[in-house]
Amino acid sequence: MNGKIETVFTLLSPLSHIGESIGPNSYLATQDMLDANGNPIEVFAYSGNALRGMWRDAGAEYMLKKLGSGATLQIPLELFYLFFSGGAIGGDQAMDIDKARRIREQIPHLSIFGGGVGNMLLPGKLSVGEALPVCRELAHIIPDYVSGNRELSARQMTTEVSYSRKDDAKDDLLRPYLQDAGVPQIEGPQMTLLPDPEQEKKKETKEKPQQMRYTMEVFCRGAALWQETFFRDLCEIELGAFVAAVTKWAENPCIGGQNRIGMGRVKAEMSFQLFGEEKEPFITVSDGYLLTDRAREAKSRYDEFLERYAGYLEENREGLTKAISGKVAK
Amino acid sequence: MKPMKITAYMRTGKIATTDLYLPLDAMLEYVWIQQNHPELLEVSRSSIPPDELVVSELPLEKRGEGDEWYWACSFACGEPKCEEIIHWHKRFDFDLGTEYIDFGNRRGKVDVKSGYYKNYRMPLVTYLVPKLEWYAVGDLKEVALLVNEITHIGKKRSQGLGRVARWTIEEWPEDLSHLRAIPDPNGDMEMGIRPPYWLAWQWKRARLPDDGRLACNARLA
Repeated sequence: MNGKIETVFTLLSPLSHIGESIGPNSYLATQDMLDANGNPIEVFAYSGNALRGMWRDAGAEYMLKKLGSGATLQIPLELFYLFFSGGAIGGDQAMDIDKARRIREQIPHLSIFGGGVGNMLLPGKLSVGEALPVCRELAHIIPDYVSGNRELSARQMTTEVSYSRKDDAKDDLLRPYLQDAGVPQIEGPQMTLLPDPEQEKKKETKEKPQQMRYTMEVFCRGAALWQETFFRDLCEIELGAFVAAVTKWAENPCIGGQNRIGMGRVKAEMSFQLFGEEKEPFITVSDGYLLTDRAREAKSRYDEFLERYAGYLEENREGLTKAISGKVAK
Repeated sequence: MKPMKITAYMRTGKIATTDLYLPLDAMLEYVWIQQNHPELLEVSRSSIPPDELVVSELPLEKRGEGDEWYWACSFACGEPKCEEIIHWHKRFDFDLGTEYIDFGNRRGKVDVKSGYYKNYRMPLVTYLVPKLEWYAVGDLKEVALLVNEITHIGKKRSQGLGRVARWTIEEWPEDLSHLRAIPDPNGDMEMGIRPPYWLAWQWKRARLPDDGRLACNARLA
């Protein structure tokens, strides 16, 4: 099947997506785009490559959790790199259509996101576009049915947040917990050798300052981002692999950086459209996820496939490695 | 077979390409292969031996003599507004690695500064173009069927670059399909004259018209 999935992300917390850093300050990634009159303008955009990587990671995690039947399935480094980062090819590129087909059949996750397997490059089946903010500059690009403030400039949707990194080693209250390696400890309650003041001065100048104030430019909470993912030649199980990746991501639905301090939390509305057919609701991500019939059916087909595969792996621990090398047992 | 003009109106205008040739017959051939020999797209190729090369049957007029034949279809015409180098990144995820990698008896150390697992920050040359036009001679309806299957143009389509918003195809009073690489023994370079253009063994000595309408000849402001 050929078609596209449209996603509207609504930011529930500020979004950090760094394009440039100057000293301790970081700025949002922008791209040149065309305004309504065809002139270049610089606008924030959330990279398609970042979204693709995020869903690839989630899809790989989903697969390994399922294959581990509850436990985490640990895999060799080469396979990890292939599933999570797309791998790399070593040496001259080779081509074996039958082997490529077998790999695609056995590992739908790899088939949709693509990757370098041995000397072969398997192209993915997704084209994950950048997420564009609904704003004045891009109002002519974003479809009318996408809600958001089209009067406001993208520049007005950004703000700066500053944080302090405290050097706890300089905190007198915490200092008792710090072992001073420069002072030779001698047994006894109060006996220590005092360090040479000159040496101590030199050491202090060598130490990098840990305490700093840093500032991040972020995209404001409440803003909406519109995004398109095109797919080509997907089978039902591969669509299920994509749905599974989204459901795994929905466990912690964040985009961008600084998630550890609560940034980039989103809700997402996804719609599905086969070329030449009507668009239909697909997945809603907000405090968990909600799947429509099409998404649920595709995911259950994928789950059934993984369960069968998990059974095979229990008997054959080398199963995944064999799948990659093309020696696949049914 | 009639002269026609094919126009791609771009979504954001951003196209990843270094030369701006963007031959439409190459994109039409890709769609033709998707429809007729999808197995060839299961895996990427860096070369194709002559006996394995599949020649497409495009609804375009064939021109040229013997092995120097080419399709009557121009390279991209248009006015790029600006050039921008963007970067894409590939990185090894240590956090996930600590959870999912089984190092076995090996030392759990991964070198991301060099070698197989190297992290990348790759520059990508992009151009901003509102619309691109091609001129061809062929069967307009059949060309339209193929063209409407093309959703993206240029490199890094997997990252959404080169998104086409819509296509128009119209009859055109003038045949401008010669705005392309034309085989010429006195030409100033060796280059592809038909798809796949990257396939070096079928490059020919050719000339590219010095015509300002070609996007590759356009001067950026």
